Amino acid sequence: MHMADALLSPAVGGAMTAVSVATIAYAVKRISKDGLDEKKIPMMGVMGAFVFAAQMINFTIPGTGSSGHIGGGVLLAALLGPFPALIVLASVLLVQCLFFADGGLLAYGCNVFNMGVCACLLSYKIFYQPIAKMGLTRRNVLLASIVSVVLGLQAGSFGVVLETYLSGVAELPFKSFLVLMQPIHLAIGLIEGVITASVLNFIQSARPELLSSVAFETKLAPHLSMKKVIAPLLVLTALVGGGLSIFASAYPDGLEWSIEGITGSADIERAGGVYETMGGVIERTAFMPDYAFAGGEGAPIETATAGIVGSVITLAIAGGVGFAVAKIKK
Amino acid sequence: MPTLRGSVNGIDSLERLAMGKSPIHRLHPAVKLATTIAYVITVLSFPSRDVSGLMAFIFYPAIIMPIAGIPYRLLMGRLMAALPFSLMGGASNLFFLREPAFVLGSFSVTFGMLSFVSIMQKTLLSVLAVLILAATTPFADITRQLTRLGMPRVISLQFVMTYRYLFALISEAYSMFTAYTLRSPQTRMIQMKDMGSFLGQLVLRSFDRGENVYQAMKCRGFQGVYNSGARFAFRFADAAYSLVFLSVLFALRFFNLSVFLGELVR
Repeated sequence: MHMADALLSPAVGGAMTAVSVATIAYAVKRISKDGLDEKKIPMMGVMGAFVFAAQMINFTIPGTGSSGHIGGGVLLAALLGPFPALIVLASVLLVQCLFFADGGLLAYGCNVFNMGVCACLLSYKIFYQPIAKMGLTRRNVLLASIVSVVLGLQAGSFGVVLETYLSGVAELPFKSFLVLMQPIHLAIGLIEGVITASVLNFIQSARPELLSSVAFETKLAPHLSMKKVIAPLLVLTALVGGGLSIFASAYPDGLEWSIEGITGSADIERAGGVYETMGGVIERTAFMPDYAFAGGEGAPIETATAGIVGSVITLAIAGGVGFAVAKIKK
Repeated sequence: MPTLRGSVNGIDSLERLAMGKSPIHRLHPAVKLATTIAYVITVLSFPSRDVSGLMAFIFYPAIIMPIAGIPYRLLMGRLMAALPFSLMGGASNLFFLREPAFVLGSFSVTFGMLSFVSIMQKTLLSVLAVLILAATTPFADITRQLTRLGMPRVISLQFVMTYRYLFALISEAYSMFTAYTLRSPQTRMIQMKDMGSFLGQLVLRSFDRGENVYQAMKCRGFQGVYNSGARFAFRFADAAYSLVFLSVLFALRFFNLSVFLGELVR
């Protein structure tokens, strides 16, 4: 579920980074309000490393011949509490981004939101904790884990679809993408839910004090309501997203032409007529940039050729320069 | 398990590279962080059908990778991680955007093809940019820099400690996995029914490890703050590099070098 950079627009990436940074800041505030004993710091660090290692352990999924691994958001929240869990998961995602390109740099905010905030905060608070509070029996833990993992993953994959759609780089229609993503993550969620439950039940039988201390520690600081956090979050999102969009739209890009104008002429044979129809389109799309330069007013095909030839030359020069630098360095 | 061992090797080789002494390594971490972010944002800000405009951005990795001594073989594994998501989007564009953009000989190039290539370019360039950052800047320097920019200490400690104990816990998991496979030679992976106790065991070991780490830190006078003596001076080279980098970046965003070169040749 790690999103890469390529399908993201700077506006969506920036807005989601703002949301995630604000949520993490809130988590830090909550942790220090709750009095984070310094003992928890090394524990959180080690648990981050645990999630990292655990994600690399593949297991066989019975009856399918395929393998999978866990995401670990709800598991972390059940072991450490939701706010420390979010911070731990954010650090895991940063390491994955920097060292493995698993999730992009600009997509970091999206990934923290989809995998961290959805699972550790929303799903844990809304679904896991209420069920767990009814008593940490094996059945309750199983139910709480499956429900919270499944719904957390559904929310997360919905986030992926929405963020990709709003970025507008991929042309996959919103509905088809949704139909593709949600059922897959339903299956993944069921399996991860079962595994999360069996890990938690194992720990519950080995060291019962661990889970209950987290599940029942629910004293909410009265002066820090969720509403106070969400309002600035929304404003921040709108500001960053809106600001970046305005910046982007000052330089009209290829996304802005209407598809209807094209589809009408799409069936026409590849004759002069198409060139004429497409001429205007190409001018506004990216292959030929819309600034004017000497000789740039020619037929679109000429500009397209210039673009292709120029791209090959650029690539060759870049390769040559790189090769030369490597030679000089030696 | 190859992935466990492979990941340790991956981090290790990057971190070794980050200890290097090239001019790029010596740049201020803030400069590298800022230029990388600016580069990625600029690349992503290109319209989704732009191919020629993005081409010039390859100059950055082409010049910096040899200067910093980063081998290209590191790129493959990272591309594998980023590609599935990009390929899904790129392939969907091939399918949904079939209107011809222009005709080359008898071959009509569709907007879908253009955007597919553009998405692949963006994937390659953004992955290369983060690779350059990670291979020239030690992780501790990045987190230290983020702390100086106002990131709370809890988080920077978290980053540093996660990274520090990765190796310990991965080798812990690896030895558990070896023990498991020795006892069940006919399976190559862990059975799903055993995952509960396997991961549960790993959680307990991690908790114990965390406890020990805490006690060791306490013995050395840890009081909730991670002190570091390292200081980075902002030198003339940092200012010059930032200025040149950002102006070239800005110029290439609005001036299509490829089309210009193509016109020259014609």
